[in-house]
Amino acid sequence: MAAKSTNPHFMNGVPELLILRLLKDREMYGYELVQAIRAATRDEITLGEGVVYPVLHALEKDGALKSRRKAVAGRTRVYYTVTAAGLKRLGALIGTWAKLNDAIASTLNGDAHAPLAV
Amino acid sequence: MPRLPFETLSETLRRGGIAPRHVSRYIAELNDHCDDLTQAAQAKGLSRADAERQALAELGSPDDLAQAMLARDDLKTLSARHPMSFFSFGPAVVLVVSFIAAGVLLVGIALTGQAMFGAQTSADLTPEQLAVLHGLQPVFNAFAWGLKFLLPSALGWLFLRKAMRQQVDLRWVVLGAALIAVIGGATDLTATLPSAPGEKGELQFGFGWYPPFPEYLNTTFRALFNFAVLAPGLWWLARAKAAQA
Repeated sequence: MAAKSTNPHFMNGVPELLILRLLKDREMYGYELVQAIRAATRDEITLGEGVVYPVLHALEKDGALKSRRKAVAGRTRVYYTVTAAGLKRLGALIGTWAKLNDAIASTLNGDAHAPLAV
Repeated sequence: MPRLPFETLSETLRRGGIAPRHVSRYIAELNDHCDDLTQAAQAKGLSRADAERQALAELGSPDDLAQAMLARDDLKTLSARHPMSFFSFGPAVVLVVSFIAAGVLLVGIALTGQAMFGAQTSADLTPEQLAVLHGLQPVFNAFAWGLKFLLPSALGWLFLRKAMRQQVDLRWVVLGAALIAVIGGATDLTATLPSAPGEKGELQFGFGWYPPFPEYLNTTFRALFNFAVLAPGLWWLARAKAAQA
């Protein structure tokens, strides 16, 4: 039987997932997005500034986001919105995450062959 | 508003191969982000100076910020993602395509000229028309010389300049320079114009080390000349890389 491949994007996809999900609701700029992730995850996840912008750039390059510089209250910021391709990608990421979540939950609940040592 | 003291961040990212459009936007967004962090800290009662210091600390060090971008291959330029292909074979490919384009251009000019003169072939040209054609010989000679010597050198220097701004293995750059020196040296372009009405002219575009023996020397000399023009750039690049190491 062929060995199952590992999940290389196990944690790598989390920033993408969170960013796409939050941008689905409304367009935001980088600082706003970092604050929104912190609030939505009740401070459990804080994306560093060094993480969020490379992810945003990569998602835009892939066509999942589009950006524009917008002036709000006298300041201009680069705002990001999700595209149709981004919504599709979000759907795929949610699906992957749900499967991982189920797999981990079933292991923790002792559904695996070996009993969980506590 | 504080400006990031990350003067080297942009240079680090460009040398690491991140595409310029991503570099400039990243720096601009980090500056905007720093402004927002500063305002938020001031809103909590910090002084301006303390708020700026806190903002910069929260943003992270230039190294951390650089590594976050450099880890993303998908944001890098073609030359950064495929340095061997780009610097070794890229110049040769561009040179060959340029030669083909020049050949097509020359044939197009010749056919257009014939049509303008009302001639089916070059053998149909009148003495007056032939005189015009022979008057253009120096222009053609300059074009041929530029194609054989200037173009390989110019292309070589363009790629060298690109290599200067990026971390790249010197071997690929040397190989690229050698290839275009050889291709440039081994390419020949000649035009034999009809000397009298009724004679046909000929446009020859060739590549290779041509016999007999003296021609080999001519071709070898041209290749060595092309490489010699690029040699100072290669030496300069080698010194710059050694200084960075």
